[in-house]
Amino acid sequence: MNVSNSGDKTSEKRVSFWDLLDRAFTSVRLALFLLFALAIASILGTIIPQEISFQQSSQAHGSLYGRLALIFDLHQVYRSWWFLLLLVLLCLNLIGCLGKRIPSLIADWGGRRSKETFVLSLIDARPAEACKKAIIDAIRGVMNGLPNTEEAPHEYRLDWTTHRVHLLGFPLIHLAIIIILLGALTGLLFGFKGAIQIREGYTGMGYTLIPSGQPANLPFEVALDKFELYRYPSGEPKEYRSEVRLIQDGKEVYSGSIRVNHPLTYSGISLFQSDYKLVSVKSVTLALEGADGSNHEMVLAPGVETKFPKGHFKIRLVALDPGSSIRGPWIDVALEKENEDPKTLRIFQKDTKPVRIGDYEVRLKGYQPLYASGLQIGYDPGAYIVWLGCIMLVAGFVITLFLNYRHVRVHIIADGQDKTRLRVSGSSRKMRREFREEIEKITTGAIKSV
Amino acid sequence: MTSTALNTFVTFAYLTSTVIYLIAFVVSSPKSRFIQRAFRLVVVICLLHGFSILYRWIESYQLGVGHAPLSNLYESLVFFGWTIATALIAVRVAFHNDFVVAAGLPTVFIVMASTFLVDSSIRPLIPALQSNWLVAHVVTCFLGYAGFTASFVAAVMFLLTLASPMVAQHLPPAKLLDEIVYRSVVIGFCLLSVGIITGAAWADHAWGSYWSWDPKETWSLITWMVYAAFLHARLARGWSGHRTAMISVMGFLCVLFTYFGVNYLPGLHSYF
Repeated sequence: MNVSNSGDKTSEKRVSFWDLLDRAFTSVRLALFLLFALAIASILGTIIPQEISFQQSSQAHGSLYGRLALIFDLHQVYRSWWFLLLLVLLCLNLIGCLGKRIPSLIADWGGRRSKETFVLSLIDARPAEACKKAIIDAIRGVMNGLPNTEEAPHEYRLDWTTHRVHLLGFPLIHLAIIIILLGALTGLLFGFKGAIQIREGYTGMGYTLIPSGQPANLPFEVALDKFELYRYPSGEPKEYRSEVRLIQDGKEVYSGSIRVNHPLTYSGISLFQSDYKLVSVKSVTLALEGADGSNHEMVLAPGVETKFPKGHFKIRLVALDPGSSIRGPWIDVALEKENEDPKTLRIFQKDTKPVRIGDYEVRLKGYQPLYASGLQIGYDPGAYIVWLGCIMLVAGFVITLFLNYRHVRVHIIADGQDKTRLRVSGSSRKMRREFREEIEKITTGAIKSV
Repeated sequence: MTSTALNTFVTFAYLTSTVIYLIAFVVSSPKSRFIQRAFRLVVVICLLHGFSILYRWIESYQLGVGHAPLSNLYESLVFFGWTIATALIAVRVAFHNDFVVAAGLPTVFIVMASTFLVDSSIRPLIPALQSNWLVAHVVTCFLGYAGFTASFVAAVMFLLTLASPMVAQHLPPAKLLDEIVYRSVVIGFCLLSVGIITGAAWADHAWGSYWSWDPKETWSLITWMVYAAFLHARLARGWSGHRTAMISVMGFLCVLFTYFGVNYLPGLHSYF
């Protein structure tokens, strides 16, 4: 009777926790899942309004959806714990896959392992020496050069390899992604972003952190000497320019201009022109025409009462609108005269009919705007790591696209005076079929058949 | 003649060449001289189209607002049309198949015809766009988009060959289509990556942060991830045929949303 007794010797292979982890993080299936999950999460972030105010978030507590949204950070998807978790898993997955491939990469690089995708056996009717010469002449054209040759009695081994560096392309691309993610993490931990608004002629140091909204201070003061806004003839903005001085410990350490696309960097901190705001006016100019035909110009400064040349009116600037109405910019002025109640008047720049004040016909001639310049503040020590990753990524693409690792081996064995056996094998990382067909064609063309 | 008028001419020339191509397919055999001439006509129109883009560049200098013609929706559509036409010609040269060109030309016509709906005047460049990164960023992104468009055209034809054998016998072999779907994605993916990197470099230079999750940035990353999934599915898990074709179609929908849909969401790219 022949009964297998292996039944009573079963051993249960224990799958340890580490094995499971290893299996999970070296699988491309996880990579596919993570890519799709990150894509869907990113879509959520563009659909659901992000950066909601405190008030909105307290309102959200009222409803079930709102509370869920807050738990899952749906109002700040890209900074949520689960989005970061997905990125960390992606990073681990990349490291796992890279680690798994390193041994075979080293073996391929050293030529100790060659995955042959085709093998060809041929017989030549010449002595081994002549056959070797014919084969080298045929293949050197395709493989750009002479082979490494190993000689043994009655046999030769010829070995061609092109663009071995191609093997590094895929690891380089994946390493690049890991480095970019690490750079982003560095920026998240050690960098900061903020915004500061400085009025023309003023100095600023305190700024608001983005996105937390917390106040913070720069290590230097920014003095905005001048803000200029240039326009094209068509009225579109052409350039914003902030002329600034940086003051540290009472000393001026830098002076220059900041424009859009032309930031200023001082001690690692960059200042970027982001926007501007009309906050006030330096002065308003009124054109006065007296009853006797005399013309005057009157300049009003904010917060200052001005007297009319004649008469007893005093005028004070109350408000200004830079031009949201079709009647152009307007100002509100307060008029005071002794023994009369003060009154307020609105003057539009584009009105054809002047406003009458006392004996004068008054027109709004123009105003000198006072701007506040909006600057963005950025400090990101991780950016250089990210750029390193980007350069590696592009290098990886160039290597994989424009180079090709190809390998041909020819084993020549003398089998008598006019009989030589040949074994041609090889592989190519790209255009496999074309490569095989080409090698087949040239080797069979080169040999002298029996 | 202005470049806008030239673009109108080019638009209808693409339509005409599509019709000529289809007639050539019906009345003559593949590889016939008629079909070769139809292809040459497309090459000539594409050259004219490229000339029109350069001409608009010169025109903008004559108006005193000189800048590369890549600064608004009209100009980007014209450039997108040109990159698709170029990608189709590249597919024809690489794979010796005319059908993909004929099938892709209507896409070029639709893109070019849609320029009639938007403002075509040459405007001066707003401060945010005054940067040398503009050309590098826009050109790489749109060449990437063109690669994805070529892949999409081949993927749709591939899915049609599966629909019925009747249709399949008039289309190029499924294996060839599958190859075009894959190779176009490889090129498009590399170019989109470079486009995202140049965009990040520009954003870092102009706004002080290389990534700010602006909707267009985010959607370009979504597109990138979908095509990354495509490449991993194909290279590491051995997917091919209808499954990769479906991912290619999905990726192309993401491209369209990145290009057009995002304009309806607020963000930094609002001028495109």
